[in-house]
Amino acid sequence: MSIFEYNGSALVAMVGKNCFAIAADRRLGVQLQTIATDFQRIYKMHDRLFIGLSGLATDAQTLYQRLVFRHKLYQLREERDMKPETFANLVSAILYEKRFGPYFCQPVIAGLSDEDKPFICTMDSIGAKELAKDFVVAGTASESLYGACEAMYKPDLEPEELFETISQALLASVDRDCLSGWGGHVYLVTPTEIKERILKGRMD
Amino acid sequence: MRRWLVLRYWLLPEPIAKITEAGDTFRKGIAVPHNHLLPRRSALPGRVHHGGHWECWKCIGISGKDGVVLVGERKVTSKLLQTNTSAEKMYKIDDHVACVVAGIMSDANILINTARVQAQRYAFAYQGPMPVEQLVQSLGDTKQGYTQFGGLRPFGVSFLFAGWDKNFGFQLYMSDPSGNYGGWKATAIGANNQAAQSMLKQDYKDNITREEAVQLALTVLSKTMDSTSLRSEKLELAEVFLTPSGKVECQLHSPESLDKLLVKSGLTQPAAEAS
Amino acid sequence: MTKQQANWSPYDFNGGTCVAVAGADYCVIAADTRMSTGYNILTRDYSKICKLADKSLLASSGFQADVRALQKNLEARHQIYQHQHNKQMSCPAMAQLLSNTLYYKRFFPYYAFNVLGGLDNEGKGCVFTYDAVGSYEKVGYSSQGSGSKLIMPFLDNQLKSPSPLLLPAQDAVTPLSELEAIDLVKTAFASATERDIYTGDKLEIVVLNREGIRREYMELRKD
Repeated sequence: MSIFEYNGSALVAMVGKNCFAIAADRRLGVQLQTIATDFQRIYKMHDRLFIGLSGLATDAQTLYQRLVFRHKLYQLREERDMKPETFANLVSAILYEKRFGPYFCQPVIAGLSDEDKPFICTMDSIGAKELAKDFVVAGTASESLYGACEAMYKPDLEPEELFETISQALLASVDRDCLSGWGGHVYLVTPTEIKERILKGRMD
Repeated sequence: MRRWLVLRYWLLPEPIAKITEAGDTFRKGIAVPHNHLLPRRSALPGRVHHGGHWECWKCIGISGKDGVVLVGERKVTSKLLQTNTSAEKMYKIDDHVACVVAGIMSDANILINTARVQAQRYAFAYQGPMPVEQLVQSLGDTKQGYTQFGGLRPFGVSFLFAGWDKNFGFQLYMSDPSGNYGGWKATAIGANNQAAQSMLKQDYKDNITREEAVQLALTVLSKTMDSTSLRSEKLELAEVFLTPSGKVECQLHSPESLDKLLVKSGLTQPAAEAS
Repeated sequence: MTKQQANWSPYDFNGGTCVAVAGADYCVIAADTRMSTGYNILTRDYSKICKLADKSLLASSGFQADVRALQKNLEARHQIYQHQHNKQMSCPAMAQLLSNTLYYKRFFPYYAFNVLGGLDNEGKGCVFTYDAVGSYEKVGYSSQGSGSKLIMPFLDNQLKSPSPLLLPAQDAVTPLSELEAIDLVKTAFASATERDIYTGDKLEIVVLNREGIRREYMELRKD
């Protein structure tokens, strides 16, 4: 049993036309047993930056708390919010600090960069960044998510279409993974608003 | 770390000597090379070295029943100085605590950073905002260390902290280079602070509202300032209050909103203003 | 000295993906044509689909030596059936035979992941999906092989099969037309090729309907 498969998770982020969407499942389990069906995996760092953390839940929570620490200090000193590219570099550095005793997490970062250009990236548990132009996935359902996203994704989708696409991809993929599911949590972010929606899925 | 600090301060240039000459507080209690420590006065530093010119800075803080107000004088010494939009002496320590500074700015920067990191460390450990007094005390402890150990000179900074926490609501604290601090309803630091304090003693009343506090602060500041009339570029104003949804907010006023406030309080003429 | 361990394995993995979709009066069976070992490609032109009977086609991925042996075994058994019964084996019958053949080697299995597709006695499409030791199920669609984890969620989403637990048992065949189903399969393979290194080169599609068997090919990415 891999430590990454202890809690179970599914995360996906997609790029649309001047918008992005980030979605996660809601199950928290301890191997086969489901403990919570409303677990939060996606966190808002500021209005234009979100991070989702898959993998071991305790490491995800601690890593998030450490990132809040660093980001708040940055905000106080710089008197502005962190850009997504900068934040991704910060996460990568923090993960690599623990190179020989890592956080068992795989983050998915999504944000709006300069000129409202959407930015997504993922990295492995020791901070190797993967920048993508279309979509990024993480979690126990990552293979299913790759297949579903690759088939359903189209570039330059409008916000509502993007929401449909990412929701369908997420729900279809978690239904093939026993460790993730119990619905979905989708954030659809445009330069003017953030829409948060809960999806109802198979409850098993 | 101590050894490094000692080395660093031994390399400090002239300004220490200047401070001991002109500053009345600093003459007493500075750690001079032969470690002649004398008890400190609780009066605050007035004259400081700023960009090559001696300046007087002044700050006022007033705590009301629905907010805390901090007002600071912004002294523009030379036309060539870059006056960027960010505040000169108002600093946010965390979402629920702001402060205003009087003294040596470089020392202040170190302490502000220390305070910010302390607040974040608390938030990381306890997943909640650090209570205001704990923050002030922790910073005070840091300052006190420099008066007792290491043979280093103390920080030449005084603070006015304004904040809110759910235990004691709105609070205003003043701390000085000795590390001593006290909670105040209204107080002033910097040049002419005695005049400002006596004015506050007369006009302050308990349960003052935030708007009245702003008015009072601006009035007191304008009366104790050197120049004839107040303009928004000579001031900084910050307020700590609760939004209708119950969240704490520290808001630094923009020059436009400051102008409006000054006109409203009758401290300046609208539009065509006296120079 | 550390304990010596045997490092020879009788099995190898040749990669590849197979898909089958059942329709109202047709069945589409598709597989890529890449055969690989490790990070090397052995050939870009290897068919994984085998005709076992007039109305049954077997697509298998996994270890192709075992797949070949399995195919020969089943073809031989079908010959015997034809001699004894004077007719071709129906698809459901072939499905059971395949299951038994696989379980026969329960303790030294055929490393073959199979999808059997064809038409049943009424001419309706049927697809059976297997694991390596013969556990099988009649379904409306399935995929096996290295790209199956990528393709299955997509097919789930597009072909929405009813739960097999429902009573009365509902039909699992898709209402899509033959051309739509072929298009779907092509999309699925194009996506799997992007993300799976063992899938690519060419796609072989075999369509079985009342007119007979039709074969077509589609180019896939060769990297």
